[in-house]
Formats: sequence, C-alpha cells, structure tokens
Amino acid sequence: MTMKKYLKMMAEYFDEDQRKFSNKKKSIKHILKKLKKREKSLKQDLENESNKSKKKSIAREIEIAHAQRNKGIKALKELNKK
Amino acid sequence: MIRKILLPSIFVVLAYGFWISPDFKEISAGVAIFLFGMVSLEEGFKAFTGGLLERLLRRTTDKLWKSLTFGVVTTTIMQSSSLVSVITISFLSAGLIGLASGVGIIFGANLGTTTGAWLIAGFGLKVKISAYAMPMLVFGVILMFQKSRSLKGIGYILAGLGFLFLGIHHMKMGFESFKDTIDLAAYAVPGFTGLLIFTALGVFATVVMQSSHATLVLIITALSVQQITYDNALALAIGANIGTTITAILGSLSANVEGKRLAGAHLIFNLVTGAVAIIFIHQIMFAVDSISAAVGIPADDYTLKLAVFHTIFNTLGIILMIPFINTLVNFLTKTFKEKRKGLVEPRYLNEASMEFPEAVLESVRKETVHLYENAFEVIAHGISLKPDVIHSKDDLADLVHRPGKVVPFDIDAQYDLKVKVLYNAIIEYISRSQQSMPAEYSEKLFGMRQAARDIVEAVKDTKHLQKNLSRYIASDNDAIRREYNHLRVQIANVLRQLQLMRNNNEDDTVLSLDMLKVEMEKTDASVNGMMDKLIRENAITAPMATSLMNDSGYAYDISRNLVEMGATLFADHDLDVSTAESSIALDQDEIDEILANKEND
Repeated sequence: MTMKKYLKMMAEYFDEDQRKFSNKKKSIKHILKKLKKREKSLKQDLENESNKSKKKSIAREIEIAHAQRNKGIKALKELNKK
Repeated sequence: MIRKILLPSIFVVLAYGFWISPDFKEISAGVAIFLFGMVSLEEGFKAFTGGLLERLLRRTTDKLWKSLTFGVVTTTIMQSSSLVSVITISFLSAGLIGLASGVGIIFGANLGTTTGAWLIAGFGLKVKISAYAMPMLVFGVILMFQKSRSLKGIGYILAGLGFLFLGIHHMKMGFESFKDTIDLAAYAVPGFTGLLIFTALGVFATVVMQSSHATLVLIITALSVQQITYDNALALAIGANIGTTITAILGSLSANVEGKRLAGAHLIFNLVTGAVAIIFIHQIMFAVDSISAAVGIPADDYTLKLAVFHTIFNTLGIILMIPFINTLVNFLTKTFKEKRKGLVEPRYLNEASMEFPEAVLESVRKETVHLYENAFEVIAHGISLKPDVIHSKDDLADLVHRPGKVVPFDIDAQYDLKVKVLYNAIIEYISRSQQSMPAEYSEKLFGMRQAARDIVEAVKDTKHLQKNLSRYIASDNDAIRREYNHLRVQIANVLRQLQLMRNNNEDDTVLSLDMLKVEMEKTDASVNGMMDKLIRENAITAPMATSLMNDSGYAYDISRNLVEMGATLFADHDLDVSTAESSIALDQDEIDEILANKEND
C-alpha cells in the first residue's frame, strides 16, 4: 500500500464525516447488489408461475424492486458527484 | 450510622497523616493521581463504545478461547480489569453476550491484569517515568478539547496514561523518602499468620481504592524500596486479586440476574485462585524462582519476581477453572434464579445497561420487541386469528372464503396487562437515559420510542376494529363477511411479513415493507369502490357500509403503524446499512406512482 493510501485511511478514520460518507456508499452498493439478485430471481418466479393472481403479485414486486434499485443508483450517482 | 461517619473519619485520618508526614502525603497524592488517571482512561475508552468495542465484543466472544483472549487483550490495552468487567456485566445484562462468554472474558481479564505488574516492575521503576507523563498530559489535554469524538477519546486515554505514570512517580518518590524516616519492613509478619494478615490487608486496600491495579502499584513501589518483605508483598497481591471483585459485585447490584451470575463467577474464580495460592504458596514460590532463573531475572529482583508470581497464580487459576466452566455456569444459573416474571414485567431495562449508549439502545430495542411480541398476540386474537396461523405458511387468502370463527378475547384487559405496563416502562427508561446519550444515539432512541408508540396505537385500533369484526365475520351475509375477512387478511399479511423480518430472512428487509405499503393503499382504495358497488346492488345495508368504512380506516391505520414500527425495530443491525435502506425505501409519491401504473395497465 502506498503512503497516499495510508494517509487517506488515516484521514478517513479521524474525519467522521468522510468515514460516514464512504460507509454510506459501501452500504448502498451492497443493497443494490442484493436488489439486482432479487429482481432476477423474481423474474424467474414470474416465468414459472401459472396462477394469474400470484403472477400479478410477483409482477408488482418486480416493479417495486426495480423502482428501489433506480432510486439507489440515483443516490449513488449523487454521492459520487460530491 | 456507620456510613455517615465513615467518610468524615477517613478525611480526618488522612488530614492528620498529611500533617505529620509529607511522605505519606506524597504517596497518597500518587494514589489519587493514579486513580484519576484510571478514571480518565475509562472515559477515553467509553468514547469508543458505540462502535469498535461492541463490534469486537460480538465477533470475538463466540468461543471460549476467543472470550479468554478478548479478556486478556482488552485488559492489557485498557489496563483496567474493572472497566472490562463493568462493560461485560453491562453487555450481558442487555443480552448482547451470553453468560459463558462473559465468564470467559472475566477469566481472561484476570490474566490481562497481570501485564500491569510487568509494566510497572519492568518499566515503571527502571525508567524515569514522569518524563513520559508530561508530554502525554500536554498532548492529551489538547486533544481533549477537540470536537471529534475519536480525538477526544484519544485525548482522555493519553491524559489518563500520563496521570497513571505521574501517580506511579509520586508513589515511588514518597516511598523512597519514607524509607529514611520509618521502616515499614519492621512490621513484617513472617509465616502463615503473616500470609493471612497481609492477604486481608490486600483485600481491604483494593476494596477501598476499587482498583487492584492501584494496590499492585503500591505493593511494587513499596517492595522496590524494601518497605515490605517479598513474602508479605505476595500475600498482598493475592488479597488485591480477591478484593478486585468488589467492583464487579457493586456493578452487578443494579444489573439483572445475568449480571449477578457473572459477578458470582468473578468472585468464585478469584476466591478459588486465592485459596490455591495461599495453600500452595511454597510450591508457587519455588516455581517463581525456577522460572525467574530460567528467563534471567536476578534472584534479588523481587519486583519482577512479584510480576512472575502474579502471572503464575492467575494462569494456574484459569487452568484449574476452565474444565469446570460449564459446571460453574450451571451452578450460578441454579443459585441466582430468575424471578418468574409474567409477560407483563420489563425484561431488559435495568440500571446496569444505562452505562453505555450501545447497551441502552439494545436494551430498549429488545424490550420494544418484547412489547411487540405481546401486541402481536393481542392483535392476532383481536382479529380472531390464532398466532399459529400467522406463523404458518398457509395461504391467508383462503380465509376470505371461509366463515370466520370468532375467538372470544377481552382486548381491554389484555392491553392493560400485557401492553400498557411495558410501554410505560420503555418511555420512562428512554427519558431517563436520554440525557447522557450522544446525539446519534438520541435520534435512534427517539425512533424506538416512536416504534413503541406505533405498537400501542395498533393495539388500540385493533380494539376499535374488533367490535364489528367479530360480528360480521360470522355473519350470514356473504358480502360483508368477505369484506371483513379481507381486512383480516391484510393485517395478518403485515404481521407475517414482520415475523419474517424478525427472523432475519435475507430477502425480508426494510425494503420488503414497500410491497406491504402498496398492498395497503390498494386495499384501502378498493374497499371504497367495492362499498359503493355493494350498496348499489343491495348486498349490504347502509349501517354495514358505514361500519365497513370506519373499520377499513382502522385496518389501514393498524397496518401503517405496524409497517412503520417494523422499519425501525427490525431494521438491519448495521447502522450504515439500515440508514442506506431507509434512503432507498419508496416514499408516498413513489408508491402512488406504482399504483397509478397498475391502474393504467
């Protein structure tokens, strides 16, 4: 690890705002990953389901997960701009 | 009476001592500065609770060897077994760790505390320690005035260490000049009687100072200038080890039964270790001589030999007690029996947990979950469903088509018995502990209070809903029965989803509550449309319709309150993840948008 990286790590440790900021980014990335996986598995469930009302419910779940993912991506982009 | 005269008497004795002997004054000032250093050190480490310490505690206490190592390492770093035992009691009371882990930490702390003797005997007496104290104090105090909590904590730790060193220096100076005027060694008592007398003296000194560390420093400094004999110093060290349990015992007085069990384990361990050391004193002294010779400690370096002795007898204690750790835990569990509490008494709110913000938060969270457990049963019975049905995997939608069976249930009495008492206790505890909480924890506590309020509101709304619901789910009128069953299904679905979140299912996070929110809005909107249709078709009467209108409002409020409660109470334990999840969760406008899309489809 270079000196620059050590200094960045030290600065992050002592600067609470910086630490919170980088933790926030990490957490959003982690949630986005989970949401992507969930959306994919729901799509699979939708294909396998034959019951009409259950299909409708799964489709709604996909839509919600998608909206959450879009919101998360937007939030992450905003954070990256800062 | 004794309590009233004790403190003034101590003051008078000390003042008289200071008047007749400046050396005694210097030694006492050294002890006072040393103890102040420990307070400052504790304050510094407290700044790091609420993160680092808790994370470490959770990850490093799942196995016995890990808890032992944790006890050794933390006590070595903090140089205070008292702080480690108080933190352990506090966390045990809050349910953050188990009794066996707690016992492991306490055993380890006993070994960790011996490093203090090594530091003082090996380093403190040979180096001009006050030279290190001054810069530490200066840097420490500057850091103490900084805004950042971490820097402040480091400041307190540095200043604490500075005061510890300064205290040791003054004790050393005091004893050195004391040597020229009075020879304490003349009061040495040889043989077994001396061993018992000096052990008792060691216990007394540690109980008064509340720190075995301070006693040990006094012993080592006195020994270094031959004010006490080596034999008597060993006895004092044994006494100090027994006396140190007083801190844990005092700390456990306000703790729950788990805390008392841990203090019991601490006392038993130190008593057994002390007894073994007294009985086998000659054998241990022989071992000390052999080991000292093997590692090159001179035969007349009694201070280092005392450190070796301290380490040997604590290690011996651990080796002797480890095979009996489960027997000890069983014995303590049987001896300190938990009072058979009904469902109505708070389980986790106790004074001992008020010491550390993280423990306060966890206690309140667990008690609010306890409140929710009680409310869950009341709400489930209130909508005439057995809790087992909600816990099962049965399709709740089937309920709609079945004639309901009314479960007779006095919701008012159950509210007073199972909900109100806990709610009052939670509110009182939060109000009392909030004053000393850092801002970010106050915010979390406020959220918990709101969650408790949501639970109570949901129970109250269930009470209003129950009246008509129990009448209509058994009605012969298919239409009204179906509508009320819809309301039951909606609430049961929320309860089931919350149950999944409680069980930490990976897919069931705060974000999965958005689906419930959409369902709630959809049901609320469709009830109104359905009602008009049913009235037009004469399927229900006007009084039925007004009841349904009011009750669908109650069902909506119950679900909303429960969902909001779930978002706080069952959020991810990781503060960063839970904050990120709530920032991604959909707001009302976004939910309305999804509903509008569905209508257009």
